Amino acid sequence: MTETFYDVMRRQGITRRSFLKFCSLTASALGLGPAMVPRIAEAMETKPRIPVLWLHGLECTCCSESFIRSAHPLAKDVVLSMISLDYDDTIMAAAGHQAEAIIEETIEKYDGNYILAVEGNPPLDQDGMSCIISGRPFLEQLKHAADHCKAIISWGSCASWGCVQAARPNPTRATPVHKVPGIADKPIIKVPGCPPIAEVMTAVITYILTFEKFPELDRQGRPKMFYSQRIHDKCYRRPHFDAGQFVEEWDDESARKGYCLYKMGCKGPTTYNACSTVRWNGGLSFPVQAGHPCIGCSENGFWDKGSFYQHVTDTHQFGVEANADKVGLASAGIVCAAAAAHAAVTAIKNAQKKGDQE
Amino acid sequence: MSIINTPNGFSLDDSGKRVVVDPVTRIEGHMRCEVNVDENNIIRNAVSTGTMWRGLEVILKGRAPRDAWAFTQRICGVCTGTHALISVRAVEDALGIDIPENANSIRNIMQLTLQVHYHLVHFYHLHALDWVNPVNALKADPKATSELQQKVSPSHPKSSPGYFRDIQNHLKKFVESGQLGPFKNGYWTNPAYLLPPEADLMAVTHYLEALDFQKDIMKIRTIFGGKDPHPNWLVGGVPCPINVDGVGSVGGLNMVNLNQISSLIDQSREFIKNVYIPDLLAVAQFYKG
Repeated sequence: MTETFYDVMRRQGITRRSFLKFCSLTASALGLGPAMVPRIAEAMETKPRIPVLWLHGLECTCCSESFIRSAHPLAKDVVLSMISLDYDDTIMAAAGHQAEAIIEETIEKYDGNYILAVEGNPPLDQDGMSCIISGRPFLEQLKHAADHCKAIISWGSCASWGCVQAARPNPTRATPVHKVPGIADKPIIKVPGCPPIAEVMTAVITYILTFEKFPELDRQGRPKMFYSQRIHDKCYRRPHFDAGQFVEEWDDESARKGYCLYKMGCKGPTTYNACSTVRWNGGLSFPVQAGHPCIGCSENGFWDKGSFYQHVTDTHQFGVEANADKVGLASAGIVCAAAAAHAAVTAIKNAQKKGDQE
Repeated sequence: MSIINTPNGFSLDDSGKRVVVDPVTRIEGHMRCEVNVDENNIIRNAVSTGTMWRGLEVILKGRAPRDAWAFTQRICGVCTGTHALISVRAVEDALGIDIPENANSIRNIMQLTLQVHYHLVHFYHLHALDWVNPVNALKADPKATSELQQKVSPSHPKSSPGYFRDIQNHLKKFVESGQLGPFKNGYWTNPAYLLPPEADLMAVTHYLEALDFQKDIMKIRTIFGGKDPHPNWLVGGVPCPINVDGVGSVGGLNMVNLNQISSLIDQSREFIKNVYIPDLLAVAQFYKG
């Protein structure tokens, strides 16, 4: 017998009344009208836990580590009550043949009905020999699992963009999932970040389970609900940027007061992610709050856009949004070449500051 | 007996029965183990292989030394930060940079936080399923588990028979659902599992408690490093400024943060003392023969 989401909630002591309340809260939290409540309830009453195969290619496991840090929902509840995490070599009990058999069993039983979650990416050079699982290239395992899945979640910057192993000169030709030659044409949702925020990961899962579809994606395949705004747009230090109050040295008075880290190399103005709103580890903090500039880890190719400590220029001050979209598109790499412009911009800012004081 | 000389100069005894475990699971990364056992099931030859290569050492060439930590940090997201710290220290060593005492203390707290976290995660979520049988836990008498809990760790508050019965009921429904998730295809009928059911139930309960708690330990690193996994580091010190009582103290490391860190350290100590160490000793007791 296969348990539904509703069964799971009931056996955890949740009454039908509370269950329906949960459904209406879910509907309102997601901005849906009351008409959606019965649909959510019906979906949860009848759905078995959806099987998930979570494969690992060239990666560092930081996505899995981030996932288990989720505070709401708890990773425990996702794994025990929401999905059926049938394959994830970081936590699964089985190893070797018994582990690999699960992939075939899942394909047989749930052909076209499981989610393929990918952490990391496959190397294409040397026929994929830089990442071997069970004597075969990960590339084969990935393509095989993709052929039979319902949809693909590309966890993190590795699966979404390539990340560190794809940084110049990309010795193994590590390639993000959507660019793998011959990969099945399945819906892919990218959840970039190195790693992605834990609660963003679990929110993506709960959204998919609740509505049986992906959330709205941007043209790069990322969920709009988390990746449509820059760190800079919602940064609590933004008023200091607008006021021209910048940290100039790591241990200066401005650093202690929490001024803007733009001049220290912050990539917040060009990075689309939810760090400054959702924040990390249960909403506790995020890099800028802890005094370090954003390194732009959810952006495509962020490793090759110049030093993390070289600041992006061409970011207009005083909330002038006319140029903001251009800034979003501009890569920090272009900016590196403009070292000479830096001095000029700083001079203008100093003049502005001076002007303010006078 | 057959001896094979490998291209890289090892001679291997390749006799007997060949057993391959690939992938080795519940580790970070990709690994293959291959052994040869003789007629008495004694391992005569063992080879382990890391089966992934990304070439970070090649990628690092020509990069700015101040950026290197972020690259090396991505060697591992489980022991996250360790390789970053070593990179930062290597750059400082090469350039003769002495870091401030406070920065050194903060780095040490961050690294020790990882050590505590990783001991828990390694024991419960990576290693435990080699010793603990969650299916056998269904046979436990919750009262006996409660007595065992109170015996091995008298000061752990979560020890009532009702508490363990509740966990056992959840576990039972989970197993009965037929969707075993991470426990699928485990070796649950293997006689090498030696724990009595009540010890299995206690350990599985703490597997779940530890999974909930481990995320809180790492909050210490989030306060100093902005996020975890992969917090931020800095050549020359640490990026988090300290401003305990001056103007704009909320922009730096202030009393609120320090109190939270202190409280998290206390909670971690309690958990290690009341749960982890007693479990480790209890499990070891059954396997030491």
